[in-house]
Amino acid sequence: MEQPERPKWLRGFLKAFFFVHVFAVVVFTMPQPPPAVSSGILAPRGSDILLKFNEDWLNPGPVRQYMYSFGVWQSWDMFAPNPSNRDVWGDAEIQYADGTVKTWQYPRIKEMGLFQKFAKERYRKYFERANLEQYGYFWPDLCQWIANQNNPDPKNPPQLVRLWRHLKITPPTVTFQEFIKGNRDKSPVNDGPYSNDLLFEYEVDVNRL
Amino acid sequence: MKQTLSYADNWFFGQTRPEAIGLLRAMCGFYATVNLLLLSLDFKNFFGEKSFFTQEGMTRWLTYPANKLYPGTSHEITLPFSLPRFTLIPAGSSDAWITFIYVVTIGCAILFMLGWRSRVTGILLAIGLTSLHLRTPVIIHAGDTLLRLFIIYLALGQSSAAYSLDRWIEARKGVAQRLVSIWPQRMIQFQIAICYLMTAWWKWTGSTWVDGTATWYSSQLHEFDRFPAPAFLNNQPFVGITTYGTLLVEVALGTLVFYRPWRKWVLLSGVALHSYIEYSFNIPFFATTIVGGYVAFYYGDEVADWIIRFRKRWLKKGTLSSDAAPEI
Repeated sequence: MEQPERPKWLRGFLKAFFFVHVFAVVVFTMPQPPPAVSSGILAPRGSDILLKFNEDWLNPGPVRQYMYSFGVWQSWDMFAPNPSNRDVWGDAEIQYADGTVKTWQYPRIKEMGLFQKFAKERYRKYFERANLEQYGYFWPDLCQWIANQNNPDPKNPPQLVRLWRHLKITPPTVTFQEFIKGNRDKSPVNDGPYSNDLLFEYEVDVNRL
Repeated sequence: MKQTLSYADNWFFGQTRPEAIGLLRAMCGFYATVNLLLLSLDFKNFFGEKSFFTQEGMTRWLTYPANKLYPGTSHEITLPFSLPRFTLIPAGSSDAWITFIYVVTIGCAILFMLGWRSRVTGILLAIGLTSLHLRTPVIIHAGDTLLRLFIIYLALGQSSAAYSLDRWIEARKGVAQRLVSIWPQRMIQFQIAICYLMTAWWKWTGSTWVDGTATWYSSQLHEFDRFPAPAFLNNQPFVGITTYGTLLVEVALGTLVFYRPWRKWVLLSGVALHSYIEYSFNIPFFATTIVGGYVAFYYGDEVADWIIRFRKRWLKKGTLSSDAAPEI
C-alpha cells in the first residue's frame, strides 16, 4: 500500500534537510590539516587546501553549532591519524588516617575476564584521556572517587591519594617499504617494563567521602 | 536529464517496503537496551554525584561557546541568541533526576525494540541517550555514538511498519502493510559510508598507515586485548598487508558499496574486517552496531526474503512472496 503524497512544502523541506545534514556530517568529521599547515607555518598543498578551508570557514561556523545542538556530533578518528604507541594503565596509593598505605588497581582491562572486559571498557576509555597531563583537571575528581571506593572504615578514612601512571612506549618496527627493499628483521620483542609516573597527589576532601 | 533527476529523486526519496528499516529498528533497540543495562552496573561511578567525572568536569569539558560562530578566529561572530547543547541533565542535576532519565530511556529502548509508537519512543530514546552521553562524554565510545545516530535517523522514519507491535496490531485489524519513505534508510547508508571514508582519510594523514606499520602499534595496546592473535601477524609483510587492507576495505565501504553488483562482496569484506577486530580487540558495540547497520544497504523486499528463507529452512513455514513488491 503506497503512502499518500506529502504536501509539496514538506517534500521540499525533507530534501533540503537530507542534503544539508549529509553536508554537515562531512564537514564536521573531516580530518584536520597537519599542524604546520593549521598554524600557518606551511602553505597548504593538495588536499590540505580543502582541509584548511574546512578548518577555517566551514567547520567552526553554523555546522558545528548544528551538530552540537541537535545531538548529532561525532568523530571517526579511531586509531587515526596514528594508533597510539602508549600502552598505559593506572593505579593509586591510598594513605589512611592511621598511616597505613594501600595500593589500589584502577580497572585494568588486560587483567579481566571476557564479560568484565566488555562491561568495564568505559574505564579504559576514561583513563586513555585521564592519564594525559592536558587533562590534569580530571585528577582531583578521580582521586576523590578513588578515596570513596576505598573507604571501608569511617573511623580510619583515606587522607591522601597518589595517582600513578604506568606507561610503555611501543618501539617502531620495519616499514612495509623497507621489507620490500629486503629488510627481513622481525618486529622487536616488546616486553620491557612499564614506567612509574606519579601523576598527582591529592589531599582527600573528607566532606565528600 | 529529466529522467535522471527523476530516478535520483526516487532513489533518495521514494518509497520501499518497511522490512529493512523495521529490522534496523529492532536491532538498534536491542543494542540500546543491552548497552544501557551494562551502564547500570557502574551507574554511580559514571553518572552519580560521587562519579569520577563530576558535573563541574562536565561543564568544563563542554565549553564550546553556544552563542558564537567561528570562535577565536578573526571572523568571530556573536549571535544574539544561544544554541546550547540539548540535554535533560544540565549541571546541578540530582542523582534522583539522572536515575529517572535513565529509567525512562531504558523503557523507551525496550518499546523502540518492540516497535511500539517508534517515532515517539525513538525520539525520547534519542533525547535520553544524548543527555546521558553529554553527562559523561569522556566514557562514550564510537559504538555509543553510532547507535545514537542510527536511533535519531530511525526515529525520523516509519520504522515500526514492520517487525513491530504496531504492525502486529494493524495486521489483526486487517490493515495492509504499507510502503515507507526510504530517505531515513539512505541517511543511515550515508552515515556509514562517511564514517568509513573519514576514518580512512584521517588515517592517511598519519605516518604509520602510510608506511605500513599501523597494525603493529595497535596490537601492542594491551588494554584492548581480547583473544590472542597469531604472532606472525605482528611481523612484515603481514603488518603491511593488514594495514593497507584495512584502508582498502574502509574506502570500499565508503564508495563501492553503493554499486549494487559489488555490494555483497564489499559488505562481506567489512564483516571480515570487523570480525577480526572483534576477535582481537575489546571494543564493545562498535562492530555489532556498524555491521548490523549494513542491513540499510538492502531493500525491504530483500530483507523480507531473507526472513522468509530463514523461516522456511529453520521453522519449516512461509513462502517467498515478496516479488510483487515494487523495487526502488
